[in-house]
Amino acid sequence: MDGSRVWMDCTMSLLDFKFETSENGVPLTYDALVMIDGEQVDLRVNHPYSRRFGEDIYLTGYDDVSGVCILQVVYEPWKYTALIGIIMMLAGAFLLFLRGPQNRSES
Amino acid sequence: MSWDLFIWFGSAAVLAAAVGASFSAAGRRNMAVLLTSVGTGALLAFIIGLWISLDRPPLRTMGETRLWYSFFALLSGLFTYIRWKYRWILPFSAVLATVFIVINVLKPEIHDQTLMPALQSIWFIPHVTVYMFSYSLLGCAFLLATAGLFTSDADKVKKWLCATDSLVYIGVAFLTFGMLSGAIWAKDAWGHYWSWDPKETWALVTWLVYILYMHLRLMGKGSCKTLCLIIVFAFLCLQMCWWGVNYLPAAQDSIHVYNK
Repeated sequence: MDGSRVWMDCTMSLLDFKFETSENGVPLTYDALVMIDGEQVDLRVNHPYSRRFGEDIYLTGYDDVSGVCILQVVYEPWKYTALIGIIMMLAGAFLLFLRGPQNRSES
Repeated sequence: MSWDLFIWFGSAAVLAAAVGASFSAAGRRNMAVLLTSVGTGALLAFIIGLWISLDRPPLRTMGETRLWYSFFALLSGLFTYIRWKYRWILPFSAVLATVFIVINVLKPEIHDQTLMPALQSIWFIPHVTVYMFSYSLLGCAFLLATAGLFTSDADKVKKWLCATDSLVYIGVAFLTFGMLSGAIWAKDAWGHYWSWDPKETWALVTWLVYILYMHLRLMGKGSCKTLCLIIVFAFLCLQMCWWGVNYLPAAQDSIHVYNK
C-alpha cells in the first residue's frame, strides 16, 4: 500500500493459471485458480472475488516467466453508497427519457 | 457475411436512403418512410450477418461502431421525421449515414478481432450500443442546430430548438446510461468506478455541455444563436470523445482505444 509492504490477514496461494490465445495471438481468457484461506476461488477479468464486505480481490496481471499472478485487493466499503448514487442517477435518466422536456407556452 | 460484402449492403442502404430522402423533400411521406426503412433494414441485415459469422457482437473495432452509427443515424432520422415531420431531416440523416458508410468502404476492416477477456461482460453490448444510439440522436440535434444558425426565420429556429430539446433529453438519458453502465462495469473489471481515462473524461465533458444546454432551456435563458452554438460545441466534444481521444498520447494504453 502506497509503495510499502502490507501483510494481509489471509493466506493466498496460486493453484493453477490458464491462459488461452486464439490462432492469431489475441488473448481469449486469463483464469487463475487461487486458494484463499482454504477456499478455492476462480479469478478472471470482470469476475472479482468478494472476500468480505467492501473488499474485493481482482486478477490484474501475470508473468509466465516467473510463474507469478498479480492480484489486486481493493478495500472500498463505501462502494455501495456510490452504487446507490449511480442507480439513482440511472432512474433519473430513465425519467428524462420518459417525460421529456416540459411543454412551454411558446412551443 | 464479411466486410467484403459490405459494399453491396452499404450501397443498397445509401441508395434507398437517398431516394427516400428525395421523396420526403417532395412531400411524399409514405414512400419516404418506406424507402428509408428499407435502407435501415439493409444495414441491420449486414450487422446481424456479421454478428453471426464473427460469433461475437460486432462492437469492437472503429469500423464496427461506424456501422452501428450509420444504422442508428438512419433510424433516428426516420424517428425524427415520423415524430416531428421535418422534411429535410431525412436528407440530412441520409448524408450522415452515407459519410460513415463511405468511410467504412474506403477503410475496410481486414483484421479479425476476437473479443479480449476484458470485454467479455454483459455490459459490453448495452454500454456501446446505447452510446451509438445516443450519438445518432444528438447528431440529429446537431443538424437542427446548425440549420438554426444559418436561417433568419426566428419562428423556425424556435421550433427547431423545441425538437432539439426532445432529442437532447433522450440523447442525454442514453449518454447517462452509457456513462454509468461503464462505471458499474469498470468496478467489476478493474476495481474502480471511475479512473479519469481520456474517454471517460471526454464523455463527462460532453455530458456536462448537454446538461448546460438543458439547464439554459429550463431557465428560459440564452438567445437562439447561443443555444445553437452550444449544441454544435457539444457535438464537437462528442466527436472528441468518440474518436478524438485515440489521437491523444495519454490514451495509447487505454482500453477504449479501438483496434484498427
